Amino acid sequence: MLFSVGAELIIPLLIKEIIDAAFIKQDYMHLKLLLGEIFVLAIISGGMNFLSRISSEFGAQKTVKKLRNDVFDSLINKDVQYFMTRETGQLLTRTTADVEAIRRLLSVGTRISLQGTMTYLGIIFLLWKIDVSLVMIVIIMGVPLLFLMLIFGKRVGPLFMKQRIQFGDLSNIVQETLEGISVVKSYRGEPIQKSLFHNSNRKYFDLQMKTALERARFLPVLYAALGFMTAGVIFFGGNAVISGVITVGSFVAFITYLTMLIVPTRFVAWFLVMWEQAKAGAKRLHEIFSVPEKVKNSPNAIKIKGRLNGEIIFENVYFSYDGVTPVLNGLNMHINPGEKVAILGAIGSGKTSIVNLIPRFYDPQKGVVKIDGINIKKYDLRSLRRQISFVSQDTFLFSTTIKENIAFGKPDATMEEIIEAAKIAQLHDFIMKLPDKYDTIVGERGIKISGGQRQRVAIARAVLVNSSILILDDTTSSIDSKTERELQKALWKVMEGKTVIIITQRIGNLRFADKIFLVDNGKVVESGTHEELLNKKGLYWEIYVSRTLDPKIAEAIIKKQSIGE
Amino acid sequence: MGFAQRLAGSIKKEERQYTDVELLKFFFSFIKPHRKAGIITIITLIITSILAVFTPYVLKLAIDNYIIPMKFSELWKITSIYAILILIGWIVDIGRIYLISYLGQVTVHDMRNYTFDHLTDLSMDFFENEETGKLVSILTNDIDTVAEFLRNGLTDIVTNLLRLIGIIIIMFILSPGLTLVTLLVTPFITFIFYIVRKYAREAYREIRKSVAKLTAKIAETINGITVIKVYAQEERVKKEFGEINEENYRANIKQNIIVNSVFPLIRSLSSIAILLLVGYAVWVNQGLKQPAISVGTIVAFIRYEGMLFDPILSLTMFYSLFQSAMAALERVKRITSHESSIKEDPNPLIPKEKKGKLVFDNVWFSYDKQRFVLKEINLQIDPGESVALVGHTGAGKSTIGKLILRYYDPDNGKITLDDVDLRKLPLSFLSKKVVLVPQEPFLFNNTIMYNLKYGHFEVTDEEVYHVSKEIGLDRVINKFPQKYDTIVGPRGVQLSQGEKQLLSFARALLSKPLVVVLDEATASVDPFTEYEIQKATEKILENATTIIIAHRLSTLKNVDRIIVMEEGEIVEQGKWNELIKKQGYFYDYYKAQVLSEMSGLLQLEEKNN
Ligand SMILES: Nc1ncnc2c1ncn2[C@@H]1O[C@H](COP(=O)(O)OP(=O)(O)OP(=O)(O)O)[C@@H](O)[C@H]1O
Ligand SMILES: Nc1ncnc2c1ncn2[C@@H]1O[C@H](COP(=O)(O)OP(=O)(O)OP(=O)(O)O)[C@@H](O)[C@H]1O
Ligand SMILES: [Mg+2]
Repeated sequence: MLFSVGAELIIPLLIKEIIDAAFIKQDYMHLKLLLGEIFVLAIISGGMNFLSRISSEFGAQKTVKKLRNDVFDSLINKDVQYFMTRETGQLLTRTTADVEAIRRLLSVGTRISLQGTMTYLGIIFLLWKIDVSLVMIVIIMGVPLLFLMLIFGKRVGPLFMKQRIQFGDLSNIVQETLEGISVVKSYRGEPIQKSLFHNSNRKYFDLQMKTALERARFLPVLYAALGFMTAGVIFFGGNAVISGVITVGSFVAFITYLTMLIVPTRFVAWFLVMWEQAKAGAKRLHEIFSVPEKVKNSPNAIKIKGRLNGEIIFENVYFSYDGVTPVLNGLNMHINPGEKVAILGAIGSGKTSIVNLIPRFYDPQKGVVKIDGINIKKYDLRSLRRQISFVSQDTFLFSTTIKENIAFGKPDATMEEIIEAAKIAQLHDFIMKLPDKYDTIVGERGIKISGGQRQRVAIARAVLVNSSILILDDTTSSIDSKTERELQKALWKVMEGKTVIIITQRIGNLRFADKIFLVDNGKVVESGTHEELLNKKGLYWEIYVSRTLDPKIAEAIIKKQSIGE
Repeated sequence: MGFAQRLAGSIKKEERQYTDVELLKFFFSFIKPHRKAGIITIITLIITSILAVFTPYVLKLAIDNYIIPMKFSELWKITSIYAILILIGWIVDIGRIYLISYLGQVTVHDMRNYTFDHLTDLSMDFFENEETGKLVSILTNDIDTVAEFLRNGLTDIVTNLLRLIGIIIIMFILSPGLTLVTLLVTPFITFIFYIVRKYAREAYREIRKSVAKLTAKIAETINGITVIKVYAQEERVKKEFGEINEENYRANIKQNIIVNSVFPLIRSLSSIAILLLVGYAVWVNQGLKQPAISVGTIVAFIRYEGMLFDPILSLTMFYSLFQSAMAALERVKRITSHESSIKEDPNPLIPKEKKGKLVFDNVWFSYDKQRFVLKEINLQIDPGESVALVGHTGAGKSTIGKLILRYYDPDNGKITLDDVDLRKLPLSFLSKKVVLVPQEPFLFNNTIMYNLKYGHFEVTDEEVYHVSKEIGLDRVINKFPQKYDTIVGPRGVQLSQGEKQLLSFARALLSKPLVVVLDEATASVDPFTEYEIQKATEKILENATTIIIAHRLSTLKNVDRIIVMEEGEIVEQGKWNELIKKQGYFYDYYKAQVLSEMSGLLQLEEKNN
């Protein structure tokens, strides 16, 4: 860079020599030499310029690549709660547009600021050599400009921040509209979404115009100042030429140098804007980096090797998502190794919240969760999770093939294993009917297959990883009774030797369970085997009766119960 | 050479869908409504350009007429003229910068609205085939690229072109010979531009694509975060993200190499032009006492030459931004020229009587034009009737619902509502009268009240409270400190699944539909709540035609008719008791459920019969 700027600066100097040599002294030998020098310098300057650009570019792009990877790494390690409370669109724009703002600063900004500064210093130095008093004009006008630019930065900075946030909002509206498109379509919500978007877009526009106003106020000053400097030089410099203090050549060179300041001056303005934009972006990225994870490895975390026995104990567990609304209120639960238990309860009673604590999506505020007698906080997080297969209530599939979705937890699974898992999940026959078989793309969230098929892909995914604890959270809600029955039979084999927790609303299926926990308001209110609970004639019995298909059967059950008593 | 080949080889050939002319037309259609602002902007641009061309001329006058002839006493005059020109320039510049921003932003603002509007109006099949993240990226990042072009690129092009022309004219007036010599380098410049167009565009396309992929990957990671965490696949997802990021990095480097080789080349050409210029002048003046080309002229020429290359350099900058914007516009245009496969009839019909009679007349349907998901569906559902769809998973039950809402049109046959073909109905009428409660509830990241009223904001709070109470939702809501003002989180993640379903159900009830499709709407709801819902629904939807898709057969005891589907066909229909007696398909499901629900008790039931 130094070379390229230097070479460019020397050229006008040579031109001065040429003019003096050719027109004043008429020294042609010297002239040819000078022309040759210009030619060589032009080539060198071009080549160096290229190299300097590319090398700074490589550095910048590499840094940005790393930054973006770091942001993503930091994001993926965040607590689950982090994502529950943040707008997806805002997170999206942070990792894309905000990083992009930093990229612009690094790739273009550093180059132009370096080049600009060097040109400035070089020119001032050369001007100094030509005539000191003329330089004073430049400096006197330059210092106030510097302050002006600082003020400019102070004013646009907050505006850019607002812009970034608004931009995130914009992207969030698009994101949400698309994710909920079926609701939007079904409730003629198009005008609603449109007006939301238009409003947000309008706000974004207004913010843009506010910064435009600042720009219009401040930036022209820079160019005007340069113009006035030139005017000053014409007057005083012209005077100096007339009084013979400097040569015409010097005068021309001086003016030429001043003109050369136009470009770096524009760079300054440009740089300022980029700087402030990148600063706003960096602040937003900082938020991602700075939010600490609550769920993390303890200092001497135990790495689980081999399999856990699968004894799970909840000891007086209190938990709340927001710290205000209690969700689990002193929950106690004891699950022996290899037991198959069911959790039952009304909506919102805390069933999902209970199982969410086992892979430590959240940590309880009070009480402990123990597996194999050890507080799960003491285990290495990842090795703990590897012991657990978890099929969550709202099925999530990735927008890739069926095969990759099934193998998500075990990327190195063989095709045989995948097919085996699909067979257990009662999925294989359906898959074989598809044109692309296991390579069928399921669409975003699995939109291109039916609800029951989605749930079974998620089950196959869980079956494939041979873990010691299996958690099924309401995973057959969209599956018909015939398929479910087949599924149950097949799963029974898989469950062998595992601790299994099933959450379900299909109460009749629970005869198999070694233990049934009835949860209400974040507490276990009844527990025992199917028989025990029926005999109790408590809540379980009530639900059971209400769920039966036929009043006659219900009667029969009741009869049977009374006989049993 | 080797490099260029490698470059060409590594750039994936991709169908170019639009010509530059088409894209520009598309682009200018957004500028057109702001013609006035555009014209004023151009005027300010012209004034600045004239000033920019004029000031060096004043400088020349100052040197040739005042400084060299040593007219010191009048030097202040020319200096003040110069200063006044600068002053005017300053004022015009303020307007120029503001107006250019305005023009750019307003254009992009309109383009965004237009694109979003178009997008939301597209039919469902479009969304089933697109990744949300990629579409988001188009509406945000890609359109922003266009904005950047307008702000930094387009602003300069008029100025620079005007300057270029102005300078060339003045140069010609001053000395045609010198001008021609200076312009000797232009063929090289044209050639450079030609090369750049091809490679830069490709590189920019790759950048845009990788940014979209990045967005999609992040969106997917956020949505699937629990799955990723529970299967401890963070490292793999990071790696996948890293690969896309690497793609983005490569594309950026590629683009930079291409664009950055242009600037230095043109700069070198500029220096060479000076060389030619001075050489020529010296050659002409050689041996002449009175130089044919004055010192002032040469100085002015060198300055003009500098000014000539300044716009050319800016034009390359413009050109690069232009290519970038074109690559982005291609993606925007792809969305906006996508036509909805569901079109409104130009002469829509509204049924005379709005009762809710639905008829499927020999309906065939497939998603992929390969596998028929619905085959020969003939079905009449009377006004106010409640029917249940039962069947194997993947039998096509949800698809029936989607056809009723016209997410898709049948490949063959027709569906009528009150004797009017759905394709003839105005779309707004259809969505006002027909409501679907989907398998997977979706809530907006807003208050519970907002979500309940979504699509029917005219509903009063009292009605909302009433319906909530009826179906047992108020119990849930009253648990929250914020009650109806509770924010539910993205997609409603801060609620339990059952709570979401309940909310989504209540929303449907509040919209007072004529036809309602309940697609496993209460699958995750506990029996007590379900019982409450059932009672309330019967009351509220008394007059509505109801289609219930459910797997828990206990919820179907009270429907008027049960329809059993198997592999896309209707195989059985009738009342609960009839079907049980018949011991056909439905009986199988019944048996399976009884078997698993009450194993051992079936015999008991059979005995009792
Ligand atoms: N968007 C789509 N693109 C391609 N195929 C689809 C799409 N949606 C559904 N299918 C396929 O069409 C068939 C019928 O799906 P549908 O959702 O109607 O089933 P369903 O009877 O509702 O099943 P479930 O009880 O599991 O919800 C399935 O085999 C499914 O894979
Ligand atoms: N991320 C969250 N942030 C705040 N509150 C939450 C969050 N997730 C759940 N809740 C609240 O915690 C309570 C318990 O929810 P949970 O999901 O455990 O219920 P559940 O028993 O699984 O219900 P369902 O049968 O409906 O799935 C509910 O009232 C719910 O609104
Ligand atoms: Mg739950």
